[in-house]
This record gives sequence, C-alpha cells and structure tokens, in this order.
Amino acid sequence: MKALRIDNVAKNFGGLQVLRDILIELEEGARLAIIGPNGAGKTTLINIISGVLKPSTGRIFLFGTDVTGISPYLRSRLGLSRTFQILSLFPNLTVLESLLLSVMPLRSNQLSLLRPIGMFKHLSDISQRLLEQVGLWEKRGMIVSNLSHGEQKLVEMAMSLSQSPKVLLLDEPLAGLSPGETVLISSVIRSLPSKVAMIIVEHNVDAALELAGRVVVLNQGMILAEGTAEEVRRKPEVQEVYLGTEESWKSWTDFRKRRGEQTP
Amino acid sequence: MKTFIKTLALFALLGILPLLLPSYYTGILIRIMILIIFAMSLDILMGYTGLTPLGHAAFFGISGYTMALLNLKVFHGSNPFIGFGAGIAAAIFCAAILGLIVVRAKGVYFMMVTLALGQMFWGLAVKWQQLTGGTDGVAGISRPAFAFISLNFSKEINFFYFVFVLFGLSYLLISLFVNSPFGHTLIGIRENEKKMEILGFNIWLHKYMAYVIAGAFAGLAGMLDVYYYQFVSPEVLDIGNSIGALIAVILGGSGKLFGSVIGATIYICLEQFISAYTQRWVMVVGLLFIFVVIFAPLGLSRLLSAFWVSFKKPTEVK
Repeated sequence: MKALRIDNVAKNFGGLQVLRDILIELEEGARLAIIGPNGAGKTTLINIISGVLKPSTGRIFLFGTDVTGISPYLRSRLGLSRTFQILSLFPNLTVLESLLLSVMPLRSNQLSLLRPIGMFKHLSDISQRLLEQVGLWEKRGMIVSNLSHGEQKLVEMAMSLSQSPKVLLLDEPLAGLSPGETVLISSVIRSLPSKVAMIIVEHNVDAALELAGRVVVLNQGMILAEGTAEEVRRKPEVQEVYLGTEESWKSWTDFRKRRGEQTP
Repeated sequence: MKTFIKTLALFALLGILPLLLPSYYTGILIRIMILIIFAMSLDILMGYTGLTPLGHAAFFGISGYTMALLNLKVFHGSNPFIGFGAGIAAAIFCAAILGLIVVRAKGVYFMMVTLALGQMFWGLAVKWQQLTGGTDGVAGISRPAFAFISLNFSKEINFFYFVFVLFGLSYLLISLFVNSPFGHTLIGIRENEKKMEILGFNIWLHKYMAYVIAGAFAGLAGMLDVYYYQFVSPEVLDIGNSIGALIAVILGGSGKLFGSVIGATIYICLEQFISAYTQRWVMVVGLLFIFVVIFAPLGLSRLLSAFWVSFKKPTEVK
C-alpha cells in the first residue's frame, strides 16, 4: 500500500492556477525531494497534503484512506506530520513545554483535567528522548523565542517527530541555517527510522538531492521532471529552469563583456 | 512544593483574618473571594485559552437567578442542595448552548458575539417582569441552611466560612485544571492555534470545554453573590459586571491564577475605600488600569513577584 498518494491534484487561487495535474506516489519509507524555483507551488502542495488548504480538484490518500476532506488534526492522527517553512512554534513557552504539548495528542488522555502534567512520566520521558535526539536537552528550560534560528528549527523538527509520524513533510528544513546547522539538521533527518516516508521541500538543491532517493521538480505548478537525483540533474529542461538556456547564458556573458567585466 | 506551602499559608491567613479584623471587613472579604472566583473563571478563557469574552456575567447571573427563583417560588425557602445544583447546572447548560455558537469566533468577533449574547440575558431579566421582577429584582432570598450542621449562615462570619470553603475548593480545582495536560493544551492554543491543529489536537473541543468549565465557575460565583446580598437584580447580568471581572484579571495579570487574586482584591478595595470619599471611584480604577496597561502590561502580580525577587537577591542584577 502506498503511504501517500496525491491523485491529480490541482489548486486555484481565484483565477491563478497554482498547481495542476500533480500525481505523486510515495512508498512506505521513501524519501522524496521536491525542488523547483520560487513560486513553483511547493509550499501550496505541502499545505494541501497536510490539510491546511483544500485542493480545487483531485484527491489525497494516506495509506489508502481518502483524507481530502479531513481536518489537519485527524490527518495528524493517521500518522502525518509536518514542519513549516516559516517557523511555527510556541514562542513564549520553554523548549520542554513545547515538546510536552507535541507529545500529548497521541499518547495521553489529553482530556485529563485534574492531574498535573508533571505526573505524566511517560510524556516527559518521550520529550527527553526527542530533545536528546536533536541535541537540545540542555536547553530544555529556555524560552523558545530566545533560541537561535537553527535551534528553533531543531525544536520544530523534534516536535514533528514526537508523534512517530509515518509520513513526514519537511518544508524547507534547511532554509536560513549556517553550514554547521545544515549539517546537524541533515544528520537528524538522515537518522530518522527508515520506515518513515518523507517529502522534503528544499531550495538547497544539493542538500535535498543528498537526502532523498527520488526527486520531483516542480515548475509553474506542474511536474517538470521526476526521477533519481542523477536523472533529474541531466535533464535539459531542469537545467533550463535552474541555470537558464544557452541563449540566456550567451546574452548574460555578452552583457558582462560590454561592461568590461570578466566572465567565468 | 514551595508554592503550595505559600498558598496554604495565604489561605490560613485569610481564614483567620475575619477574627482579627472588625466585623465590617468580613463582608469585604466575602465580596473579594466571590470576585476572585469570578475572575479566575474568566482567566481560564482570557489568560489560558486566549479568548476574551465580554459577556461572562451571563453565567454569573443565570445561576444566581435560577437559584433565587427556585428558592423563592418553588421551595419557599432555601434548599441548598437543589438550589445549588440547579444554579450551577443552569450556568453549565447555558454555557454548553452558547459555546456551540461563540467558540467558532475568534478575537474581536468572539468579544462581540459574547457581548451580544450576554446582553440578551440582561434584556431578558429586565423585560420578563412576572418572573424576574424587572429592574426591581428579586429580594428576600435566604441563605443556605444545612439541617445536619446547625450553622446559621445568616450570621456574616458563618457565611464567610461557607464562601471560604467553596473559594478554597474552586482555587484548588482551577489550579489543578490549568496545570493538567488539558490546561497546557489551552496555553498551546493561545500561543499557536494552527500548530496545535497540525500536532493533532481537536481545537474546537478544547475551547468548548474551557468555555463550559469557565461558565460553571462563573455560575458558582454568581450564586454566592446572590446568597450574600440575598437579592438579585439585572445588574448582575449587566456588562458592567463582566467588565469588572475583566479589569480585575488585567490588573492582576492574566494567565496566572494569583493575578486574579491580586486584581480582584485591589478592585474591591478601591471600590470600598475610595467610594467612601467620592462617587467617582471608577475613575481611580480607570487611572490605575491605564497605569498597569502601560507600565506593567503583564499585571501587578508579576510586577510584585519581580520586586520580591530583586528584594531577595539585591546583588544579582540582570
């Protein structure tokens, strides 16, 4: 059974067609990178899969269940988890409190009204394990908004892992990170259990290709190419989107020559 | 543990206070405790869930009226258990119905919807004269009498302990509630609703339950208020009553139960002692309110604890 099936999804914002004819299938444990230039519709696609947006047409299947009309929180209970491109955290809570919240929905009676949260030992145990996994256990008492951007990304990553997701959507996990943090987060992503299917949306093409076995290139709302990292790299249409055509290359070098600058 | 001992000490102090002070102050202490319960119930919504209702007095008044009318017209005297139960049940019932409507709204819309629905009950109390006596209200409600303990609650000091026990119980229940997983979920919703939904929480259900629970405690406060005055009029359903609790919560600091305690105490003290000099005591409350919002937006309770910390460790400057 496919972990995730995106069946002919299209999305319009008014007259603007942002996505069309999107057909992606994800095996259990598969790692898929979605790359593409700005405005290609990558984040919209993630929003549709996670239920934040509804597709105009088409359906989404999670382990064979049609989840197209289902709210985000129920999708989450079916094993879908995501991170946000623009960090979505609890800025005024501590790291540990944030983790406790993320651990709660599936593991405890969240409607338990009169027992202090400290008495739920298993919640703090799981939180500790997750924070140790991303190397933030020492900073558990810090307010999230006082952490660096990279650390905040790690908090979000830990929170998205807290429910042992079966399908994980990572929306630009590496954006805005220093090289050191990039290495750290990449290694966290790589260390995830091999059963977890993943979709990674990234601008850092090299890092994305390194993390994923398969790549989908989106451009202007359509799937431009699909295949292994090598196949995609070699496709002329992909090079065109990312590097420009031979003509545009020529006109650029001519332009620099005219200004008396060196050309590579 | 330390907080627990401190809280217990404060409660013990409150318990012996009416024995030390002149009897005039007993009534003030009763009113403070009632307003604290009301403010805490409001804080569940305001401080913890991030929803600010402007019609919270509805539950305060509904339970008061229900209890008053049952006692006067049905039992012809006080029936503490049924009167009490029916009062709180009425508040919960109304919160459960209104919650279905209001919890869908957010921010300013939530304030407006709760304001409108709250005023509806005020209008009902004013217009339905045969039942409620209109603006004249209902008088002659007797305080609860329990046959098995021969305590006479019509004596102010005895009634004080009646309220004191219920106040202590409410404080205990609400503080357990806000520290439970459920309470933390509410804080999460206040902080980032979208994220909570992605994490797998049923946002609507949590907000709805918070609304009903807040309504229940507001109902308890309303009933004690009616017992205390032995009189109920549409004033308890008035927006002024909602705003009074709102001001108490903001003065003390929302999202912290002790804030409601401080805020309600200040509010009643101002009302009591300044109104002795001028009718315009509300102006003084207003000035203090402006001061707090500008200089201590997190409330006076946090300002006090900041002072306390710097007083204890004067060398540690940060």
